[in-house]
Amino acid sequence: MARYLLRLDHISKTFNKEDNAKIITVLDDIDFTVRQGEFVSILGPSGCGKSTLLKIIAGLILPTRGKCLYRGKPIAGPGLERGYVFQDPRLFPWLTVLENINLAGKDGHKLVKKMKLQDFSHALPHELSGGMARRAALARALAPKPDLLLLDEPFTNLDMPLRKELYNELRQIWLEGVTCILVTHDIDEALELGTRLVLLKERPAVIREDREINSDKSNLKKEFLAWMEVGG
Amino acid sequence: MLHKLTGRWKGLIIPLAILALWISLGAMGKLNSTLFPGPGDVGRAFLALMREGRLSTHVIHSLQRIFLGFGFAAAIGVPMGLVLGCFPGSQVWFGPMIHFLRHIPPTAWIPVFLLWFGIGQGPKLAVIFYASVFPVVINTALGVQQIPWEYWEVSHALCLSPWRVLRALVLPGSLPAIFTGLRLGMGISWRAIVAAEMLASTSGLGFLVMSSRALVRVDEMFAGIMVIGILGVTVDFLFAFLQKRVVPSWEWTDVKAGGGNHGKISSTVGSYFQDI
Repeated sequence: MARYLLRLDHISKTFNKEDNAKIITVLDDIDFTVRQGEFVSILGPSGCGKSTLLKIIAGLILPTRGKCLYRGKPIAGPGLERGYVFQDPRLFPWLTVLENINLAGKDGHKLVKKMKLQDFSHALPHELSGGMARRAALARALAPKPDLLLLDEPFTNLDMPLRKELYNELRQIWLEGVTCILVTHDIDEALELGTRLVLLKERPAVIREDREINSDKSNLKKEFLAWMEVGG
Repeated sequence: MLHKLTGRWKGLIIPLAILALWISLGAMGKLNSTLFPGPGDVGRAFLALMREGRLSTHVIHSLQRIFLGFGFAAAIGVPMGLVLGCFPGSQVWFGPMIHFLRHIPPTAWIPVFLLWFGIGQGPKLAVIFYASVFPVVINTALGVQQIPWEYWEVSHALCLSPWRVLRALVLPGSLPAIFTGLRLGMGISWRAIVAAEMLASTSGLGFLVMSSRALVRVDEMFAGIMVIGILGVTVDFLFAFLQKRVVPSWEWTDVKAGGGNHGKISSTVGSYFQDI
C-alpha cells in the first residue's frame, strides 16, 4: 500500500529548442508528495513551468528525468483517475454542454444539475457565458469520477463574484473526497482554497517553499510575498 | 431606383443588360445569325431539344456520370484526407505525389484513360474521379489540421478511444472543410465531364455541344452551353443547401482556430497543403 497518492521523485523537464539546439530547463529537480485529501496550491509567476508540472502529473507530458508515481505506480500516460481542468474551457464547439460533459463519463445529467447548468444542458458552448463555460469544463473533468483533480489556472479572466461561486463549487468537490492540485499565480486564490502551499521559483522552476496552510493566512501571505520578491 | 433593389437581385442586372443588348443587336440585324444566333433562336433550339427528348437523355447521362464518379471520389477522398490530416507525418510521404498529380489537368489523361478503360463509362468516370478527388482530399486534410491542438490534448486527457476521437472531434471539426472540398470537387468534375464527353462520348451535354458543331447548329450549341451553366449552378446551390442542413452552426469559442494539429509537427511538415 502506497503511503502517498502522488509522488514526484526528482522530476526534471527540458525542452530542445529546434532552431539553435539550445536546451531549456523548465523544471529542475521537483520533489514532493501529495496525500489523499489534500488541496495543494502551487504558486508561481506566469510562465514558470507550473502548467508543465501539472501536465506531467496528468501524463500528458513525460518528464526528462525522475519518476512520477500515482498510488505507487509510475505514470506513463493520461488516466481517468486524474482529471484535468485546462486554463481555457476547451469545450468541443459542436457538442452541447451535456455531450461535452459526457465525453468520458455517464452521469452528465447529475453534474449538469450540480454545476447549475440545467437550463443550458442542450446549449452549444458559444451560447454560454465565461463562468458557465468554466463550470461545464469542470463538470467534464469530474464526469469520469477522478480521485485527483488537476486545475490549471481555471479562474483566469473571471470577475470576483464568478470566482467566489466557482471556489464554492470546488471546495464542495474537495470536501466530497477529491484530492486537488491547483496551479495559480494569485496568492489570495492559493490561500483561500488550499490546505498546503507550494511556491515555485522560476526559470528553471524549483520548489522554494512548501507549507501547510494554517489559520493564520495573513501572516503566511506576508511571508510568501516577501519570498516571491526575493526569489523573483 | 437601383439602390432600392436588395442585394440578392442586384446580381441579375448585368445578365439582363447583356440579354437586352443581345436581343437588340439581333433585332437590328447586326449579328450573323448562323454564327451568333439571337436569344429567340437559342430558345427555339432549346424547346426543340426538349420536345425531341434529346436534351433530357443527354442531361441524365451527364448527371449519372457525375454522381458515380464524384461518389467514388468522395468515398475515397474523405477517408484519405482524414488519414493525412490526423497523421501529419504521412504528408511527407504523400504530399509531393498528390501535388504533382493534382496539377495535371484531368483532360490530359483522357487519351490514357481511353486506352486503359475502353470506350464505355470507364474513361468518363475516371476523369471525373481524377478531377474531384484532389480538392476533397486536400480540403479534408486541411480541415483536420485546422482543429486546434488544444482539443487533441483534451481528447488525450480524457483517454478517448481513436474511434471516439474520430466521431467526437475529427469528423465534426473538419465537416465544414470537407463540404468545401466536396463542393469544389463537384464544380471541377462538372467541367471535366463536359470536356470528356466532347472528346470521347456519344452522349451527354458535352457530346451535344460538340456534335452540333458538325451540323453548324450554333443555336443548339448555345442551348447546350446554357443548360450546362444552369445545371452547374443548380447542383452547387443544392450542395450549399445541404451544407447548411448538415453542418450545425457552431463557432470556435475560447481557442483560436487554425492552431494546427499536433502543434509543432504539423507546422513544419504540414505546409504541403497550406498553399491552395
